[in-house]
Amino acid sequence: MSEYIKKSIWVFHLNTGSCNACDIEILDALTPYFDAERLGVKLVVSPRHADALLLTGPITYESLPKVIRAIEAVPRPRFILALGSCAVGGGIWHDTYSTIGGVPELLKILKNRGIEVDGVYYVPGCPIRPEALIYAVGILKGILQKKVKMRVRKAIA
Amino acid sequence: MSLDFINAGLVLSSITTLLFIVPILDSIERKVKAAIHSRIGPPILQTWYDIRKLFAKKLSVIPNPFHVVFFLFLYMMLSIMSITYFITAVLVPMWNSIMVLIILITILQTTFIVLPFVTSNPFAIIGATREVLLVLVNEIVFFIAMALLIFFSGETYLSSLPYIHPTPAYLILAAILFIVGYVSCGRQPFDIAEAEPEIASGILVELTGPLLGVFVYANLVRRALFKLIPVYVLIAPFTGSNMYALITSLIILPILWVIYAGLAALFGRSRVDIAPVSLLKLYSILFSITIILYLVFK
Ligand code: SF4
Repeated sequence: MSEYIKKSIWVFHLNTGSCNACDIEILDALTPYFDAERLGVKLVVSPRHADALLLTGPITYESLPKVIRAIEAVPRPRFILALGSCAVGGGIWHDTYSTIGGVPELLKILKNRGIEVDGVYYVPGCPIRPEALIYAVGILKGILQKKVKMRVRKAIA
Repeated sequence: MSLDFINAGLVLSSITTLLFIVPILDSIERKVKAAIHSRIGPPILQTWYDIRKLFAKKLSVIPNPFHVVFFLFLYMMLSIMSITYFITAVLVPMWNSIMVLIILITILQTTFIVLPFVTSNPFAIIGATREVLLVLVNEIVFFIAMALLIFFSGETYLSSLPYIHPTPAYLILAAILFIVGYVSCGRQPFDIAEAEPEIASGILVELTGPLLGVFVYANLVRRALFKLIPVYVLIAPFTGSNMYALITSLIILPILWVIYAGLAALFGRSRVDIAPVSLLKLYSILFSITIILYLVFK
């Protein structure tokens, strides 16, 4: 990954149908208490300025076109931080009729459309802890190691 | 001849130092804000890292690219040119340099408010419309203040200001220039164009990657210029030499930057219908005082 991005990570918050608990934890991680700015993190309000998307929620069909447009608007290199069980693999909405089932499914759709994502970081938890989000930023910066391997199993119909 | 060499060296070193140091001043501001929050805050080179990162990103095609790129580069060139001209004019006597500076700043400000309109993004245009109102009031006051400066001091050379006698009217004029500088920096309560939570990053919303980097850098240079002018005008008559005045201004610049940041932290954002009117009232009072003082102490 580009060394330049590691020192300055501008994030855009993208809610794709989450229950808002993860979103509140994101806000928590950005407060002075956790001081994400010391890692070069800055919250921006346009995906055009962002390097990483803080994606929460299982990505509902309703939000899917907007999510794709937001990802397209992020100039490359672009990263996704999949935050919460919902984004990681659908969570409690796993295999439901109205959601696509999290970032792994989204990546397939993006691949079909030829939209490239330079890296995805999964942060499980329901909701995520702010420390977990900071840990993910640490992995993105290359100063921390990945803890577990992520594997999503489809329910057998 | 040797003095020319010293001047040339000073001009060159001041400009390069300033252009390098301006993003660091922004980082210092962020560091001070972090200290107020009792947190560590970003590294001292963070704003440079941000700008370097933006230049490393892919350039996406934006709507109306020709005009956007044209005005953006014009904006950057004008910011750098104005600050270069200011420093050169302070050290090397140039006839009518105050007038040329006024013209340069007018074009710079015009480019700044035209830029968001050409991005043809509705959010950017709303931000720009708000900015236009403020810039209108502020720029006119800047012209009048500079015209009065020439009238009170009888000088059109920036480099001659250290040799004039500071009168109370002159000092009030410097105070007006400080306020003009503060407003032009777009800090609270005058950051109505940047009303970020409400209208998606104000005027910058369409800019991306290297284009945003150019804008961020040019904006910081413009902010430095609007701090340097009032500081120089205020301290020049007390230093007695243009070289000392410039060096002192450059030393005061970081302190003033931090003071402005502290002041901005005290205010909330003003409303678009209130800010220009209250500014106009404040300026009218200050102009009346300066003219009365001039007439009394003439
Ligand atoms: S992971 Fe849990 S807390 Fe987060 S959005 Fe999903 S349901 Fe809500």
